[in-house]
Amino acid sequence: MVTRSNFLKRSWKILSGAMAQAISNRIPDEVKNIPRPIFPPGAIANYPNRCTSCGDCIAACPEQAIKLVLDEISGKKLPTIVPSEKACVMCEDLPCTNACPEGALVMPADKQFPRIGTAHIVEDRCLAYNGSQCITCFDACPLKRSAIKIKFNRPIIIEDVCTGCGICEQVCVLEQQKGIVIQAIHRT
Amino acid sequence: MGAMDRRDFIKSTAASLAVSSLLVSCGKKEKGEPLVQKIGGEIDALGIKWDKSVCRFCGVGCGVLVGRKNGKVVATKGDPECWSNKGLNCIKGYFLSKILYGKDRLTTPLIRKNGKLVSATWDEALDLIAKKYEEILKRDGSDAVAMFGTGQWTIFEGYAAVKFMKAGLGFISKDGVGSNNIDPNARMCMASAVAAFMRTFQSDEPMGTYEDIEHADTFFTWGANMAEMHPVLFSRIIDTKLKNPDRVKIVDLGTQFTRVSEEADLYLEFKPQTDLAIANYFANYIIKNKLYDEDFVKDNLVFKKGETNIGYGLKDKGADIPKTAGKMEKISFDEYKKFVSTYTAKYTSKLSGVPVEKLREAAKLISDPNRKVCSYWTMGFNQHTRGTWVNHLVYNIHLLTGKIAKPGQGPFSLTGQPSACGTAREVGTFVHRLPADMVVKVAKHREIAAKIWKIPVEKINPKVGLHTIEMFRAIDNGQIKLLWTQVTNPFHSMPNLNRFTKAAKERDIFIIVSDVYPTRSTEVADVVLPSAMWVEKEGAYGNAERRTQHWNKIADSPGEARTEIWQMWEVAKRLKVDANRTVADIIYNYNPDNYYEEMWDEYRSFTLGIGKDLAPYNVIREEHGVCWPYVAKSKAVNGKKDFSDVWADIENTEPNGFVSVKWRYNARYDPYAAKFIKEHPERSFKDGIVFYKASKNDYRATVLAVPYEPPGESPDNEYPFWLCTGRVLEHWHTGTMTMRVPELRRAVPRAVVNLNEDDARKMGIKRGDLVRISSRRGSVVFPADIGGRSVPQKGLVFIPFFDETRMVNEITLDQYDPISKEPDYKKCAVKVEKV
Repeated sequence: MVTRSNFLKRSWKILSGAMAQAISNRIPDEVKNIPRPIFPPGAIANYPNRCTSCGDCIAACPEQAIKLVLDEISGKKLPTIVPSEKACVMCEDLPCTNACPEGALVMPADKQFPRIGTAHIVEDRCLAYNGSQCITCFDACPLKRSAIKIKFNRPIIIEDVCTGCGICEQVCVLEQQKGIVIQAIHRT
Repeated sequence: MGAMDRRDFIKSTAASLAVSSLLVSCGKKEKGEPLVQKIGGEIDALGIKWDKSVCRFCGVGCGVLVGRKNGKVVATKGDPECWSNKGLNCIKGYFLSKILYGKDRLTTPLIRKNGKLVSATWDEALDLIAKKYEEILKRDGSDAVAMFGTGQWTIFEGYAAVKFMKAGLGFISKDGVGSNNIDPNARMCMASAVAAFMRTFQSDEPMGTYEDIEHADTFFTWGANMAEMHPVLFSRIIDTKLKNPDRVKIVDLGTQFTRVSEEADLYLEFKPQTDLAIANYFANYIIKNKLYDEDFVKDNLVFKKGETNIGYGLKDKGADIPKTAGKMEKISFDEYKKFVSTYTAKYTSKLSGVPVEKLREAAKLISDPNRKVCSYWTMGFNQHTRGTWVNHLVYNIHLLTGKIAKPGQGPFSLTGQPSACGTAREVGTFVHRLPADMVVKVAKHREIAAKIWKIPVEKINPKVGLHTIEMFRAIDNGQIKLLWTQVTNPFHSMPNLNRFTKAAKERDIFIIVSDVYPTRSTEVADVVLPSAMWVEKEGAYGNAERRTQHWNKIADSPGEARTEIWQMWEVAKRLKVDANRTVADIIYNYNPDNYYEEMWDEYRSFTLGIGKDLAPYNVIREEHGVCWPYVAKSKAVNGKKDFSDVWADIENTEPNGFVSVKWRYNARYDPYAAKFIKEHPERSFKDGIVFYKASKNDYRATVLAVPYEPPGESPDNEYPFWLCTGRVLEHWHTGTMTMRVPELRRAVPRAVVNLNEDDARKMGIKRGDLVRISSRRGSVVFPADIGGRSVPQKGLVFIPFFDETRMVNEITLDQYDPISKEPDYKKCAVKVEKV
C-alpha cells in the first residue's frame, strides 16, 4: 500500500528525459537479481540440459518470438524469449511446445498456456511509480485488467494471474531501462 | 494536516531533490527576495542548461524545465516551482523534448504548382499570399477571408492574429472593415464553457485554481477521463485521496468505464445526453431536502428560465436554430423549484439508466453541507449539443449549495489546450470577441479596442463572423475564398470531415497552412509555411487555472522555419494602405527588437482595472506562472484601481505590492470582491462572496432552468450504436506531435475501437479483429479492443481521433450547440460490422 508520505516524495524526485536516463545507467540491485532468461512455454526444470537447440520451436513460433541466446549458466545457446524485443503472444494451441521433439518443452496436462515468468515492476524506473501518469503496460496486457491492475495510478502485478508473456516489457516506453521486466519462474 | 504553503513545499522539494547530486538549482525563490529567474538558466553537472517553459500539450499547463545542450533541447522535467504541477509530468511531458525533432519537420515554404507542393522562397510565398489577400479583399470584401487558429497559439501570436484580422484587413478590404472570420479550434473544445461562464457570471474562466484539489474531500468528474486527459491533476486528486482514504470520495459520471471510474468510489454510468437530467435531479434533491444555502441564494443568485427546443445546427447557416436560442427569462425561486421537481430519482433513473440508489448516493455526497465538493469536466460537457446548458446545470448545483469560490469548493471547467484560456479566450480570437471578454457587437467595446489599437473605430467590423462549423461550410458554399490556418489541423479534426476535405479540394479556395509537420491539412493547402514551434520562440500560455506562464526562446528553429508572428507581419508589410503606409505600420507598429514586451504592454492594458488584470511583462518573465487577476495594491504600483483600503484583509499578497488571486469573487482572496463589498454596505454577501462582474444581474450569478432534450442524432435500427470520440493518454489531438515521438508512437501505434464485451461477443468480434464503423457520412475500419483502458457501456463504441491513417471524423456529425456553436463529437449513430 502506498503511503501518503512516499507518494509525492517519489513524484518530486522524478527527473525526466536525459536526467532519469543518466541516473538509471546504474542498474538497480533488484534488476540484477532478477532470474533470467525466459524459456518458451512448457520448459521443464531440466530444460538447459534436455534442449538440443534443434530450432524446431523457433520455426514453429508464428511471431518469431523465440531466438537462440547464450545461457550463461549452462554455457549453451538455447531457444529463449527476449520480451523487450518480442514478447510471447500466448498461442492457444502452443505450437512451440508441440514442436519440441526432445521433451524439453512439455504440454501441460490441462493444455492451458503455462506460466513462463512473472512481470516485475522496477519501482525506481517505472514512470507511474515516480509521479507520472503512464498506463502503457496496463493497456497492452492481453489478460485485460486481471494480471495488471492499477491502483492509485500505479500498475500492480497480480502474480497468480500473470503468465509472463512479456508484452508489458515489450511495450514499456522506457526503451533502454524498462520499468517492467519479466522474471523467470523458479524451476525446481 | 493543513496544506503546505509555498515555502514548505519548496523546502521539502529541495530536500528530496538533494538526494541526487545531479540536481540543478533553478533560481530558487524565497519570499522577500527579488523574483529573479536567471534568464538563460543555469548549467548542471551534465552540461545541460535549464530554462523554464510550459508543456506544449494539454490545458493543465504544467511548468517544465527545458534542458539544452549544444544548441539542442535534450531533456525536459517537471518544474517544481510551478504551482500548477509542482514538478509532476505525465508520459507526454516526459518525452516532450522529442516533439521538436521529428524527421519530417517542415523547413521551407511550399507552394502548390500543378497539383504538387514544391519548395519556394519566403518571398515567393509571402508575395503570393499578399496578392491573394489584396485581390479577394478588394473584390469580395472582408467576409470572403477567414483565419482558423487555435488554443495553442501563444498569447502573443493570438493577439497578433486578432489584430491582423479584426484591425488590419479593414484598411485593404473594399467594405472598409476588418474581418471577424477568425475562430480558434478552441471553438471545438471549450466554447460551451465560455458561453456558460458569460451567461452565469458575466466573466469568463473559473473562480478557483488547481489548489482546490488539496483542500477538497469530494470530487465529481462529469464525463471527464482526467486520468488520461489531465493526468497531472488526477495525480494530485489521488494524492489527496491517499492522505485521507476514508474521507475523500471520488464520484465519476460517464458513458464508459475509464481509469477514473476504476479509482472512483462511486461510478454512475448514464446513457448519452442524460447528464442534463442527472444534474437537474441533483438540484431537485438539494431543494427537496432543504440542503441549499438560503442566505447565499438570497444574496447572490438570480433565477432564469432558458429557451427550449433550440435545434442542433444541422442545417447550413444555422437554419434550424431559432433566433431566440440563447434567450433567458427571469423566474422566481419557487418557479425554479417547480421546474426541477419533475426530475425525480425515478424519472431520472428511467431516462439515464442509473439505478435510483446510486443517484441518491451521489446526490447526498454533492449536497452534504459538511463536504467540500469540486466538480471537474471538459469535453464530455463542452462537446455536447446542449453543452452550454449542461455547464449551467453544474453551476446551478454549486450555486444553490454555496459551494463555490472557496478553497476546495467549486465547479471547475478544465480545458484541453495549453492556452485555450490565455489565448483563445482572454485575447478573444473568436468571431464575436475582442480582448478581455469584450465583443464586437457592443459599440463601447469596439471603441475601447480601437483606442488601444490606435485605429479608427469604423475599421472594426460590428458583424459577428462565421464560427468554425459555418466557416468550413462557407468554404463549401463558396463564400470563403481564402483560409489561413495556424497551429492546427482542421482537415483531420473537423466533424463530418469528408464534406470539408472535398470542399477544400474542389472549391475556389486559397488555403494557407502554417505548421511544423506535414498533416492532413497541408495536403489540401495551396501554400505551406514552415513554423517555429514551442521553445523555438518566445511565448506565453495561459492555462485553465488563469495562470499565465512565459518562456524565452531556448532553441533555434530548423531550416527556414519562422514564427507565425513573423509570417503575419511580413504579409502585413506587403499590404499597402496608401503610398506611405502598409498594414504592418498600423497594426504592428512595434520595435522589431523588443516587440514581445511592447505587444504585452499593449495587450495588458485591455485587462487592467476590470478584474482581468494580467501581470506586468517582467513578472511573467521571472515568475514560474502567476494567476490573473494579478492585482496591484495601489494605483501607484501599476493599476487603475486602488485597493489600499482593503489590502490588509487579503490573503497571499506579495511583498511587491501585488496579489495573484487564487479564488475570485471571494473577499478573502480577491481585492475586487473585498472592494465591492466595502462599497456596497447596503447589501449582504454570504461568506464574503460576490459576483462583482455580473453587473447586468445586480451582481448575482444565474441559476438556469433548462430541461433534458435528446441529442441531434440517436441510434436507430439501421445505425444501432452510439459513437463517442476522444483522446488517449499517450497522444494529443491529431497526433502531429506525439506520433513523432518514437516511444509514444510505439506505445499506442494506431487508433482502435473500444467495444463493450457483451456487444463484441454477440457480434463474434475478438480483440484485434478488424471492424467497420459506418455512419450516414462514411465508414472507417479499426482494429477492435475489448476490455482495455476504456470499457464503453452496452451499445456505445469509443474511438480516439489522433490517427491520421484512420480518421474517425469521417463519420462524426457536424451538429453543434446552438448557443456556443461547439460541435458534439461525443454522440452520433453508427453501425458496427466485423470485416
